[in-house]
Amino acid sequence: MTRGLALRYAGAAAALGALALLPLWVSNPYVLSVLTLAALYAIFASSWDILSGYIGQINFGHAVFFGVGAYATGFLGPHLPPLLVFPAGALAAVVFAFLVGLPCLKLRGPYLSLTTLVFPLILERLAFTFRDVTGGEYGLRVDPPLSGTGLYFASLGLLAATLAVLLAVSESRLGRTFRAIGDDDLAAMAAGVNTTRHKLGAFVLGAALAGLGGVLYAYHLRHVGPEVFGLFTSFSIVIMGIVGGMGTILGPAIGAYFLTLLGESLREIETYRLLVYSGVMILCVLFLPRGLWSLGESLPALVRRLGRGAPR
Amino acid sequence: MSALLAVERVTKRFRGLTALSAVSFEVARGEMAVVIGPNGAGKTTLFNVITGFARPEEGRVTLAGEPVAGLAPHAVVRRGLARTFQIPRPFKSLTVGETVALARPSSAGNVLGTQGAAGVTSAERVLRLVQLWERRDEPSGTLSQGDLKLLEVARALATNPALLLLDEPYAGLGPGEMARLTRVVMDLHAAGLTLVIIEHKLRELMKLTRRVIVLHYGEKIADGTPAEVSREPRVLEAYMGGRGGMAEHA
Repeated sequence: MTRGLALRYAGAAAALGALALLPLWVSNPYVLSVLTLAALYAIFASSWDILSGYIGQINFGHAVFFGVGAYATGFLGPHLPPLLVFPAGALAAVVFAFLVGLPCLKLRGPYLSLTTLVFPLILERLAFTFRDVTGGEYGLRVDPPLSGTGLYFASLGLLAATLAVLLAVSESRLGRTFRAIGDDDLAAMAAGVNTTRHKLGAFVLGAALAGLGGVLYAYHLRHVGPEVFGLFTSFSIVIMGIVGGMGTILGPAIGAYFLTLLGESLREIETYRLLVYSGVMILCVLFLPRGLWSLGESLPALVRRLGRGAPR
Repeated sequence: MSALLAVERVTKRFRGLTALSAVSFEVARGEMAVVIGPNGAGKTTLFNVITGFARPEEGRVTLAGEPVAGLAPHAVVRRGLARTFQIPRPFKSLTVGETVALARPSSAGNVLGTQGAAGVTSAERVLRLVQLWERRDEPSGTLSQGDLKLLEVARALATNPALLLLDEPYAGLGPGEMARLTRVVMDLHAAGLTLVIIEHKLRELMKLTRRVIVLHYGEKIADGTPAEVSREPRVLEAYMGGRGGMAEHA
């Protein structure tokens, strides 16, 4: 690990620590609720990054796993203690990861991306169709086991655990193999890497973490409905990943916080939120192609230049 | 010598085009064979079929008697058959050392149950062999063309192969880089590694090999020593429509 990377990891740990201390000074339930949502989206976006950012297979269907975790909470929440609902949500997401991954991951490039897009749409339609089970467009009511502040800490804890797991994987031989596949999957095959198995592994890992996030998402909203499988959810995550910086784990989490807070500040123009998200993404692609995460690399140099009084 | 690689009547078609037509040959353990042929002769397709990157419509490919055609590329590698690419395909986000470490052999070893004919298995030994050990911490994408070619060889060697296929290793190299690569190839051959090389730089290879296989429009038209092959009328016809053309490829 380079010194720069270690510094940025330390920065992320400090940011999480600061967020954990925030309720000491901020007791406004609305603010905590928005930050809880941002943490959940950060889990969602960073878990998406392991397949899409590292292996380079853009997954437009990650909402499936978030949604399945959320629906598992709706179905099982009334019958199981909350501590069992979390593994059940993750397990349900993993089952769907196999169902989606096995046919999809033999495909490459845009074919995989387009195929993954289909699955959340199918599940959204099924949620409408089997209304006796899913509640149709009204969805299912979910009773949270924790207060708003409790959910804030739970989401922050899950985010910290998610980032720790994903960063550990990214720094391991497995993470290097994921990056090698992302660089050139034919060369990876020639190096003896079973690329399909590794892609499936990344898919399953991302799904399990997204499933856990989905459980908290349902508890946070006190409800789960078909909209969780909607295109807005899936596209939002892709945009968060690109704006934050793909292939960095922490970048998509930063993108999630940035866009969630931006979205909340644009509540007055709710209808145009995806438009604003897309505009931000285009600006990022044009002026910050490696995302907000890359500011961590360029800012110190900029500060040094400004310190010398010779901005260029 | 017993055959390590046997290609038996392999045919590969791409829609209407027959890229390989009933191509057969054998390569003995420890042998170095060079495959030549004009552009479009089917040389790279042959490598793709042998290494699992393409599935033949007909025919068999065996490594030490075990069929490998139709296996996935990574499974072929695990059997002990590694390749390089004509245009280097580095892992740009990995360092030189990480690239070679990634391709380390599976615990099962190669199909021969040996530690590789060349006996080079550790990342350090492989990198020292190709003279890239000093550059092990550099990002792969920053290497020169010559070093990228050597990194291709190193990555393939790190898989602990019994047979190494090199696809135009000299393409794009200057004289100094070619000489360096030739030394590496000669070292590998001297260590007992079986090699099959696609190449156009015949002058370089004639110093190395006593076996040349010539492909033309997907057919094998000659197989023998460089001297035998260069006298073969079909080879002369294929290369220049008359006499003296093979030398132009040198």
